[in-house]
Amino acid sequence: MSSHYEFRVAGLVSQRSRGAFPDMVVVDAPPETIIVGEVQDESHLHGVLALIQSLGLRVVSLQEIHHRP
Amino acid sequence: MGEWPPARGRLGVPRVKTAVPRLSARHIARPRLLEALDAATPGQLVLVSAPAGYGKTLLLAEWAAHDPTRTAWVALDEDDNDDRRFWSAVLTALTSCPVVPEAHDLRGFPVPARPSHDHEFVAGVLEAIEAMPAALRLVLDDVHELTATDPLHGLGTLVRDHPRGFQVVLAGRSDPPLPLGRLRLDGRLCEVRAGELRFSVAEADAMFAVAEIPVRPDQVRELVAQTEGWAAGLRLASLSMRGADPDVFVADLVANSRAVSDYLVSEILDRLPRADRELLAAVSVCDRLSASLAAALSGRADAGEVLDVLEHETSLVISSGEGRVYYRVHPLLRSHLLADLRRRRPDLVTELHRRAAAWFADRDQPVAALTHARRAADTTLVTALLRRHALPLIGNGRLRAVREALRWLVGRGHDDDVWLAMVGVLVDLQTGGVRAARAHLDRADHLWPADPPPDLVALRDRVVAGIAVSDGDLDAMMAATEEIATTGAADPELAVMGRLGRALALATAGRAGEALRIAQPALDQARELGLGLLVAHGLAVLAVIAAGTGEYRRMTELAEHADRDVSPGTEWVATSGAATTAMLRSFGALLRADPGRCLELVGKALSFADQGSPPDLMSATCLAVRGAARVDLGQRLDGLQDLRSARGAAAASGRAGPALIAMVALLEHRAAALLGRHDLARAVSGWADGALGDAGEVALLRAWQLSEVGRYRSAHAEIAPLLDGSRPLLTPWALIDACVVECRLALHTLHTSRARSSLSRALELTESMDARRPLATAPPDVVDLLVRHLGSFGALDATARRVLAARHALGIDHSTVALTDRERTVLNLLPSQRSFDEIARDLTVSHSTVKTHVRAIYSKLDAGSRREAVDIARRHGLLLPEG
Repeated sequence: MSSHYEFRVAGLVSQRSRGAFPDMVVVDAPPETIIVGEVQDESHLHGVLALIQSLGLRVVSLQEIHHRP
Repeated sequence: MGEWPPARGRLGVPRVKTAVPRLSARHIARPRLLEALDAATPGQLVLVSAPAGYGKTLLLAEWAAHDPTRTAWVALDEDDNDDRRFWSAVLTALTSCPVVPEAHDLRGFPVPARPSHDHEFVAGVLEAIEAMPAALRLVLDDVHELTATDPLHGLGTLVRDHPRGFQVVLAGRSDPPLPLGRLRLDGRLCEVRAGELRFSVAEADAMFAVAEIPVRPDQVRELVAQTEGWAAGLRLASLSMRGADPDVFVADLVANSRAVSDYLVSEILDRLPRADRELLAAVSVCDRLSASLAAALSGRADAGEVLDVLEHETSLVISSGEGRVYYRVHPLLRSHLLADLRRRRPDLVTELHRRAAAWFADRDQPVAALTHARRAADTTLVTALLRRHALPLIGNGRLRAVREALRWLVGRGHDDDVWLAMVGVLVDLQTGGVRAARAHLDRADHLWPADPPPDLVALRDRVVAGIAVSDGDLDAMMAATEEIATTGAADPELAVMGRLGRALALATAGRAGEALRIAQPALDQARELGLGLLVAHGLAVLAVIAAGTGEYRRMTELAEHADRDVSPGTEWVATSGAATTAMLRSFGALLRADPGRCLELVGKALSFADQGSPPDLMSATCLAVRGAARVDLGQRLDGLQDLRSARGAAAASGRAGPALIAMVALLEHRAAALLGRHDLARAVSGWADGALGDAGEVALLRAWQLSEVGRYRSAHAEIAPLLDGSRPLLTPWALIDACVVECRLALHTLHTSRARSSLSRALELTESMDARRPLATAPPDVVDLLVRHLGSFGALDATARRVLAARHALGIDHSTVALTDRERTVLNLLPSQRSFDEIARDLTVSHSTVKTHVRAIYSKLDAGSRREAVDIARRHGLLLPEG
């Protein structure tokens, strides 16, 4: 049941921190940063949130992206 | 048989988990927050909830420092998702409170297998806390680490039912899954959240002053604004500003739109000497580490000292434990370092994991060593570790570690290693994957060498025996275990497993004495070697032996003992052995005439079976037990269906042993007789006759049938050899049934003293076997005799009373509907659309005869109409469902 999620975090994220998301796309969107990627399931989703939190980043919004036909 | 040691206490809990964290000399006191905490009334739950780095732990440590003698502290971690670990930690923390008296009840409290669901245990703990001379406060720090259902359930109970004066304090990064909304509405929640925890300008000012960093008030305001009062951010900022120009730093931070922590961490790392930075990066592959491990990882003999210096000067490293033996890098920093290292030097990450694996392997910590070896992608090391440790790990019930390592190895060049393949089959069998086991065994056999070494042969014998046990194939069990029993295997774990397998085979074959002589020393040896899983298996085998000899009380005790006293970390609950103990315990409850408890337990045993595949013999046993319990509880239709499935599964397998067939037949026959389904009873009896030949049970069922039709003399001829022991029974409790039938025959033929002595014997057996069900569900005439003679059974009067109480609880006298065969025939035609005239023609009787039967049926069922009669009959299981 994997799907794509978009995480918006406050501030711009350094190259160093970007390394923590090797499977995701990290895009600058000042004053925020968007992290987009495939999430396997609920546990994975919480794992990503925990990773973001453990990097000291603040989640501004979280959204599931539906594939366009 | 020997004595069992008393229930062992709880699991060992490292001191570091229950020690209140020390406050550093530079700690900033936060009186306004302490006031908020002090305002909490004893009945309130205190919740400190905020993301990482808000100073939750330090705040609570400061609070505890004001009242150290009555604060119990638990720093939770991932391991506490093991329910027993969680409760062990809680109990250890509570008893290490100075105000708890030396001799308090709480000290000796053992932790059962599933503590959070053990009402007796939880109630006992709460009572012990209530009886405490002083009010206690329990702090559970990092409560977000709890994610498993069991400990969360326990936590919920603690919060809901906490004794008066006992205060529960929770701190974590996210709100725990408790009914917080309701507690808040009821005024039973005292919360300190991120908003309150934010540093005010004054507090931040104090922090910079203590750190001796000269900043102007406007700069402090700016820093607080930028970090939003986030304590970790301010601390990181103060570290970054050492020796820097505050003006430039603050201006830079404000102008930079980068995430604050991200910016600060980069700043700090850039300021560290290169060698220290490398050391921190090297140790980032481990969460908690000792100086020796740090030295092994970084290749620096002085790693411990460097970490000490970093702790004192930067607070980037936190030490803990007795004599501060463990170090932890600040989690924020660690995740940065690790992510960085993975990106820049993936080769180095691999190498570091390899070093960690070697370090753990040298210290005989195979589980940690395997984890790191896998992360190092070192197949040689993983296989070497498995060769040395796989069997002891299995014996200890560390099944997950072995399975994960084996799964990881697939496709990595060791697929043709026959020994590893066999180990995989052994793990499959432990966890009930019989189909997988058989497939894996086939593969392993393809790889079988021409000249196999003895340890490989022993391993295969063990695996084949395990499959035979799962199949319930007695001949194969005996054949596969014969070798092991006589020749000693080189591996002590295999030797113990082999003996236990042999004992189980012998017990299944009804050779209890021989089984016991092998099982007992094997169990002792498992204890000596400290093999937790095999100890539990040994107890389960002893329970099976006890079941075979009719010692049902002992059977239940042994099975409970196996479930309860599992040593720490042993994954017993998920194994085939635990399914066996659940089945035996449910069977014990059925015989004690406690069908409710029986259903609870049998569910556990049934859930273990392969879902979707046809029921195996283990499931057949469970279905028979569940069916009987359901009938006892009045769920007749479901019960009869279970019993029929059990018979079907036993018949279909073609391998069911006579003991199983006898048990299924007795249970289904009794249910059918009790519900007046004589047709069904005859069918069951016929099946048993064909399948069991001359077993005593066949005679018992025949005697029952004969007595039903009034052929008492023939019935007596069948039953007499059972009573004098000349014709043995396969199921010990059937002897009670035999006494009941004999008592009934004697009553019908007016042999009063013989009836009386049969009843006494039935009572004696009921008492010695702890099996009330046969008498409690006996025909009414036998029970009448019991009631009439109550008070004259001497020591057995208490037993008689318990039997009657059980009968009353089962509600048998209110729910039995005794229909004659003719009435049943008519009843079976009632659901059809046929008129009474047509029914009369079908049965070749007169219209008025049918009407008489129908009236009798209505009155017996207490029904007002044809339709109602059909409904009630269906509910009572008197009619089969359509289709």
